[in-house]
Amino acid sequence: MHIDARQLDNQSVIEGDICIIGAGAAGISMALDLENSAHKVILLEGGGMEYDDRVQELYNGKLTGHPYYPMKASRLHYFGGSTGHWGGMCSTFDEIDFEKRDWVENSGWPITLKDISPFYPKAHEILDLGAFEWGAEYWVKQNNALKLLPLDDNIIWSKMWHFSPPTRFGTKYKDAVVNAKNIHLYTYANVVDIVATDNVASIKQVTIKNYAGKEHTVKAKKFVLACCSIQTSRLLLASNKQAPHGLGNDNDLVGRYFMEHAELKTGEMWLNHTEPLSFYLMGDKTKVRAELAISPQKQKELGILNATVSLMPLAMSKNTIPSIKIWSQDDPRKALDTFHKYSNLDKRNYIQKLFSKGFYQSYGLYTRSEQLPNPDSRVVLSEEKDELGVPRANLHWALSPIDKKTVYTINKVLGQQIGAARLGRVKLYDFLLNDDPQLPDYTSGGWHHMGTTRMHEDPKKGVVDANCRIHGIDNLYVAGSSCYTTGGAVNPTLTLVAISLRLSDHLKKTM
Amino acid sequence: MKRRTFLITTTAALAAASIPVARYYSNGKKNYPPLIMPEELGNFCEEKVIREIGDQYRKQVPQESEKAKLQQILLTDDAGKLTAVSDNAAIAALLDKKIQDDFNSSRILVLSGWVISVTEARQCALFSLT
Repeated sequence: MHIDARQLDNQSVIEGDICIIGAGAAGISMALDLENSAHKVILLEGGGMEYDDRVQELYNGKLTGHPYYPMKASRLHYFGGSTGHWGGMCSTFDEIDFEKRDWVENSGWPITLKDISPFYPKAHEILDLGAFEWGAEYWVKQNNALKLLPLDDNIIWSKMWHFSPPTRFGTKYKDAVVNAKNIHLYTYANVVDIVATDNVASIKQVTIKNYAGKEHTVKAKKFVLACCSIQTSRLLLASNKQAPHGLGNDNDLVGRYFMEHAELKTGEMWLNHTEPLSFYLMGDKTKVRAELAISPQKQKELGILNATVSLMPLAMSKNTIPSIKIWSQDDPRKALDTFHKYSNLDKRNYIQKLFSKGFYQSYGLYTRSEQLPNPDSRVVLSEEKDELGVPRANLHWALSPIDKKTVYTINKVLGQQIGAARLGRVKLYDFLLNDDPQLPDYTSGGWHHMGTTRMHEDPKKGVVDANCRIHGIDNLYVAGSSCYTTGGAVNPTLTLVAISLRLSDHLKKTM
Repeated sequence: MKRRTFLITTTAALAAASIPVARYYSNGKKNYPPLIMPEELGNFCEEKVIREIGDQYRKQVPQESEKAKLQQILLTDDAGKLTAVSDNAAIAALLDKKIQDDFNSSRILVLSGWVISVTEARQCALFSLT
């Protein structure tokens, strides 16, 4: 069932069993996982079914710290959420990503990969990722043209990625959500306040508002925040009537440990012979590809974070512009204009012929690195309020010296491996060689918002527990990548869907 | 439009407007003796870069800043046997093995951005003294 909250009588009271706040990848995955259960699911979406600039404006905020994409443009605020503009790159977390690593401050989840793994197949299906095969050898066997680089797996290994079409949740799952008997989708239902009991031990209701001037109340047994890292922490901080510092924020952790991936060009790989490394390249028709990942043993030995390196023919890589410079438009539609500006260009084959001699002899190295969970990297409330009266979120993205050390080290180790395999040589770019302990300003993120309500068994070290429940509040949960304790080396979407399915499974068992 | 399609078309289009960067220096390279010119690295670097690497190495390892010392190290095998400076084929084989051993044992350096073996760095150092 779909209800436009603008059409309801003012001061309506909506009641259900589970209230999910946010209809993006996490919220929709959870709602559909609860379909046909005995529970009445209230799914709240602040926007409508299509882009609405006035609603999108609610995401605006200020940036400080390391340069980042404009707040208004980095997440989409309508049904389907940011799957409306995501790229579709998916990979799984590694075991080491969940571990307490002595050399990585603030690392260590209260759960392991084994707790998430049962939910990966369904997440994989939801994201239309094809065959559930994550071993490089499997894909090489499927296609003789694909070759694995002969490197030592104990040092550098080929980590698989699957590409979603990309699945647009707002398109693909609209009918399923709207037609589900027990799912009640409310659009134009912006949550502006979460109301707790006086002792802040549980949540009584949430208040929703929209531009029609309507204000409604939603009551449920359990509430799930599925608005992604920035908006989830914003809402918790702004809900401060019963808890002066915000809900779940007794230990000043809400909003902290915002994480991204540090992504940038880092060097060149020159081969002794022309070799089209198709298995490692991104192509129009590629459903999977491999990236070069640093092994857990080496991470430990060298005291670095997790990271991967992807390849692109150097003639192309040399001319790429850092994402942070391209995607600087405040209005997501204008960002899409930039996108479409190139959409009529289909010169790939022409270009490849043009550069056929030597084109596949040198490759650009593009590194994607986990960042250290940094408490100074955070979302805070602004003094400025949005049109619905909620303080805006400001973002301060902060990186750490180990982030640069990681980027330098994986490329150096890759150089050692390429040399040892008699394949050629690797050259690192100058910024990796200077004394500045920080990555350069043009280091881009991947639009991967993680952390801000990190998972930890100790309330003094994390906002949610192992079941994604906010410490100290018995019926308030957080879905998605906000819960990540550490960010791993790969894009977060597959794992955030899996962790959200794990949460819905938990709710089904405990309702 | 898919983001990856965008990336491909964008970069391809930009590449079209540029000179190919994949220059390979083996063509037209002077035929230096193997002792002073690392074979593989020399395929990727101009002579001035080889010299620059050599200068950096000699600065970092001042005890190996003289020709005689570098020659002695480069021409001596694991067993302590010295290869004749006139036997280029034997030198090439010896240095190839040393370089391979360096990479396998992570005896590597980053000089002028290149991840190279210590043996290659010594060859560059010798080149920089010529």
